[in-house]
Amino acid sequence: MEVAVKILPPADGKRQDFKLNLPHGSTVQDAVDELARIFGERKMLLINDKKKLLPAWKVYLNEQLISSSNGEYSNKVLNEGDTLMLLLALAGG
Amino acid sequence: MVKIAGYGGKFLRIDLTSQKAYIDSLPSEYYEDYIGGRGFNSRLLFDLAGPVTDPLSPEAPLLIAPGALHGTPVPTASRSTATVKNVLSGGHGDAHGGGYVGSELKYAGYDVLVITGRAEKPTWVLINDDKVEFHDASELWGKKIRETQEALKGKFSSKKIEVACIGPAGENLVKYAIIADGVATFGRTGVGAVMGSKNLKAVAVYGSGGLAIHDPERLLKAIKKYSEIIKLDAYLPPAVTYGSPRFMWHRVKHGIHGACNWRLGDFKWQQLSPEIFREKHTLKAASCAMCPVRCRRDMMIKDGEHQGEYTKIEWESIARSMTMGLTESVVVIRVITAFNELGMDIECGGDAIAFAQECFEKGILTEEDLDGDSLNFGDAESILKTIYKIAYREGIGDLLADGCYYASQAIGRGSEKCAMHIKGVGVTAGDPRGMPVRAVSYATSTRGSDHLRSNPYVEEIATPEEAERMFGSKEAADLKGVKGKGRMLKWSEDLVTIGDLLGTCKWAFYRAANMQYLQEKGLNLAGEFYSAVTGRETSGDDLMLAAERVYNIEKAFNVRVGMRRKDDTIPERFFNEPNRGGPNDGAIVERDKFNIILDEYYEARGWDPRTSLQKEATLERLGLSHIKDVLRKEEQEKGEKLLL
Repeated sequence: MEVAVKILPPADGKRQDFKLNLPHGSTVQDAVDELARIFGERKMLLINDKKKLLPAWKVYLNEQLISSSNGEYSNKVLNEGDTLMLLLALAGG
Repeated sequence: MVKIAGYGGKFLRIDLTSQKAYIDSLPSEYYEDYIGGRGFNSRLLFDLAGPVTDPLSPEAPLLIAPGALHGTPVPTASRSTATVKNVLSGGHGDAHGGGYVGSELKYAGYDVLVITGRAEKPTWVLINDDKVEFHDASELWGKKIRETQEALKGKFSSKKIEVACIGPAGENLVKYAIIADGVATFGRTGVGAVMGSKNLKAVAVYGSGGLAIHDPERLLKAIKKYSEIIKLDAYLPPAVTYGSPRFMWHRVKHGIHGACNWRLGDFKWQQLSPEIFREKHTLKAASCAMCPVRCRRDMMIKDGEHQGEYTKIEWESIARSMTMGLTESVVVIRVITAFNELGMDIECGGDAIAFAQECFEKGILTEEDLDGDSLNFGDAESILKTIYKIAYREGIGDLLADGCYYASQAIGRGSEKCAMHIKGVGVTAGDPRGMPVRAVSYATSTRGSDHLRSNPYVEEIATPEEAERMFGSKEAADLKGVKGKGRMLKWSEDLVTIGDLLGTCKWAFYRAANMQYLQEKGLNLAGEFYSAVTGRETSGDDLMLAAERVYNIEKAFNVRVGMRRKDDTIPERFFNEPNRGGPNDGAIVERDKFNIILDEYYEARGWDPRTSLQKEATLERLGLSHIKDVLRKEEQEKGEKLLL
């Protein structure tokens, strides 16, 4: 199945739209694993050493916020045509 | 002269009254105890200004000190500190900028510049190594920032010269006037008013010397390590793409715009989005000295009636534009240009105008009070007109030039509820409602309302396990949590202070997308850079101790002028009036949570939770016996406790 992913702002400063082909029944964590594979050496932009999405990234599934600081959202099952948005909206200035 | 690699080694004092300059050395222990930049200045301010010193009197000092690593190849080491007795709060005041005057001062051999006195007529000062000249600035007086910079740089077209200057707002003693250092800005606490009170229009500096590096190979290794991290720290690549306007997403996510004088969490932000500024207005992406991130942006109006107007734009200036109710990017650029060119801090200026707008909305101020004009939220022309009135202290502008707190005290009639300030200093950054530690962090800042004095945003990036390990509770990783937050705040205040001692960037060093990188950059690499440059083996923990020392000196200064726990608070609006609209609709700052965090914070600092006074043992632990002795002496004179 195809799942759209938008990363905002683009984690690598460049690419923000991805189409992931995932097996049916895949979860948000599976999508994160696939993104980490795509990012390769720069996967630390997204995940920590436990392969979990950094708490700083907020996760929206079809425009609904699903993430919380404890990462419980990661087992949520995705469906064909879903849109996942990772929003890194850190404060600072 | 103190000889330590990476430092200038000398101390320059200029007296404008006598038009004389004195070259001296700082005590050698200052280098170990206070490191540089804000550290040197905070200690010197404590010694040179007292509780009764008028910040705008000739004897009040203006101090400018480059960070310890400024002028070296350390990434982002471009920051200097300007320190004064705070014109708005009466307590400690300082401002930080990423220009080049600091590095030129170091190349001229100086680690600190102290300016006292008052010139008889408008003056500008030239510093070239050991030579200091005093020049008539009559022809510059009245000029805006860019004109002044160009006029002075034009006199020295063959030399690399850097200029720090004030605009009309500084000349007219607007209490939140800035000092411009090239296109960078010392923005907060009225540093430009202090310069204006001395009849000092500008300081031009060029130095012919260089700075020694103790261990260049070690420095190169640390630079390589830093470069590797910033490629993997998700906090930074977006800065390259968007500059600081990217912070809009954070406001949208949490619904904390603080729009229309800190009332609306839902706001028409779409025409102010980072994409709009990037696509429609970017003129130039640039960087502060030695910074690989390049988040500085010059923005231009590219078509229409105001085509060609341009200025440097930072996120907070967009944020305060929303506080004044503005929704269009072209208007925002015009407003920010006016603030920048007249030489005023848009944080306090935006809050002052928003205060007047709300007073007008509520009928507290009428058109008669406003010189026959209206002043509605979002009305660009009335806002622009008011900005000019403030800079030249005309009509209602004369009142607003003192900031929203003093204006509300003069107006009365319930206007006090509309004045959004902390210790007299206008509120900055995002709305803290629903995020109690942010509220406390604004309150405990030693220079008045501020979001750059700490990094309460650690709560957004820590895992619960990290929060428990570092701050004693998993709650510290929860936005609405309480336990551990006071300890987290103390830790982050000290961490961020390191940046001001070294002159490294708050964003590129003291913000990160995860705790691992935050500590690696802000502590480990900071220590490594300092050790490599100076040859003084210094760990991250050593730097944290120096930072804690500096924070305590600033606190002691505030205690001397009468600040106590009651002053470490936030505007009542945040406690009592719910945020309106957006994801944070209905949120307030819960007073009990605020107080629990504040109690824990004071405990972590070694201060008395009831009064906020420092404990003698705390000052002794930090090696601040001199500060303790001054407080003890003054408490005998005043008959009032200043220390426990």
